[in-house]
Amino acid sequence: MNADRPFEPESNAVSPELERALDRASGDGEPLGPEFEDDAEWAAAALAVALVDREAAHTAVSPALRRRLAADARAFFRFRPAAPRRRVWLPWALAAASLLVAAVGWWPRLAPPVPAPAGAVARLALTSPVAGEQAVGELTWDAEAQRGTMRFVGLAPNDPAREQYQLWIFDRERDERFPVDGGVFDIPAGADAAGAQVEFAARLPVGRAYLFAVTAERPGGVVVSDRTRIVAVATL
Amino acid sequence: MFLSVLFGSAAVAAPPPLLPLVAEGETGAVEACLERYGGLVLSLVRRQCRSEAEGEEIVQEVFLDLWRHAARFDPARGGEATFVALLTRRRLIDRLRKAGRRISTESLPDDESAEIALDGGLDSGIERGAEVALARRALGQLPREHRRVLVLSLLHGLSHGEIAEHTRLPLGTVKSWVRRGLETVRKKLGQGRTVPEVAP
Repeated sequence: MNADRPFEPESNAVSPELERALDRASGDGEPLGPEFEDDAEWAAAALAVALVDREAAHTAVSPALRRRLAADARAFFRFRPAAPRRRVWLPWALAAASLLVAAVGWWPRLAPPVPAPAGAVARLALTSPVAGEQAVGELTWDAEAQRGTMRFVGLAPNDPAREQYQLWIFDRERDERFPVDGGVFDIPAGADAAGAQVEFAARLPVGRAYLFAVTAERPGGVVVSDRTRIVAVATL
Repeated sequence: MFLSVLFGSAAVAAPPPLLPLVAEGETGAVEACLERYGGLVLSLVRRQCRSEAEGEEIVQEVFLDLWRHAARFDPARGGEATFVALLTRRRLIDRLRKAGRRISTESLPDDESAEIALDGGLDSGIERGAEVALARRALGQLPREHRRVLVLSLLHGLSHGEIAEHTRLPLGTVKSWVRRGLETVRKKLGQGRTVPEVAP
């Protein structure tokens, strides 16, 4: 193929389906799907890079933004297991994606769920990174009501006299070392297989939640978790 | 890999991808990602923001998306810089949809396309890969008015109707130019993936 041959004018005749794909890729028309397989979207992205690439080479994020990006990354990856442990199953993101799909298929077999808080803005995938306690579920968060719902399958029942699960909400407007307490909860015997639904509310105002984590703590919970036993993580 | 053989390797070789390492939790790879793509994400975001603070917030959201989807990046599917841009554009499109916001065209430059250099980052040492080189070549061969429309669509996030209103071009013309620009690159990228590797 001659790399120097000019691009020939393309015909205007494209199928309606391709027209829709091209419009989606340019941000017009229908919303984009969840997968990253659309050639038109890749083409749009490549064009966008080509258009800004020269400018990007001379653009740097501010030091303050760089610190926030680094802090976000630390918070995000802190709740991920180290690579050797994660090797027991699939890579983190792949596991989250696949288990979310599995959860969607599993939920119809459970008792009808309590409706999620009105205005819920996101549905999340949870997966336990701790060996032997692989849990799946989903989390909805209503930023306006400051409430949410978690639904689990496979999270091990706890003895409330010995330990309880505690939810932590990471707020972009707060120091990531001190996430907001979402309260303690219990998973009763038998609920690991049948599934459990937990309602929660933020103990303090949460401006912009971006990460949720569940730890196992002493009865009654703690003010600050030492994060030694993380059982579930979800990102918004 | 075969695109570099077809189009020449000098300007298309991209640095090794970082996202597979990010997916494994390599701290160094995360830092390197911020360094390599911070400027690209910010450049893509800034034209669609009402303020610097909003732009920085979106940049933060984009990088969280990147960490979340790092394991889904497949180097055989496309270049890493393109994947970063894909996630960035998704976040921007999603925000616009949710906000129901109409882009204000009052502060748009008359024609930015003339000022956008298409020789890419050749002097920066940051190569973006074969598909970006291909896209750059396609842009260079488009009439200036076509490039202007693509800039308004892909960088400023204007709808076809908004572009037509701003440029005073017929809506059908705008749609045709945007679709044609995307389709030209889309077909070439597709050809690049299906052509078997040729020995040098």
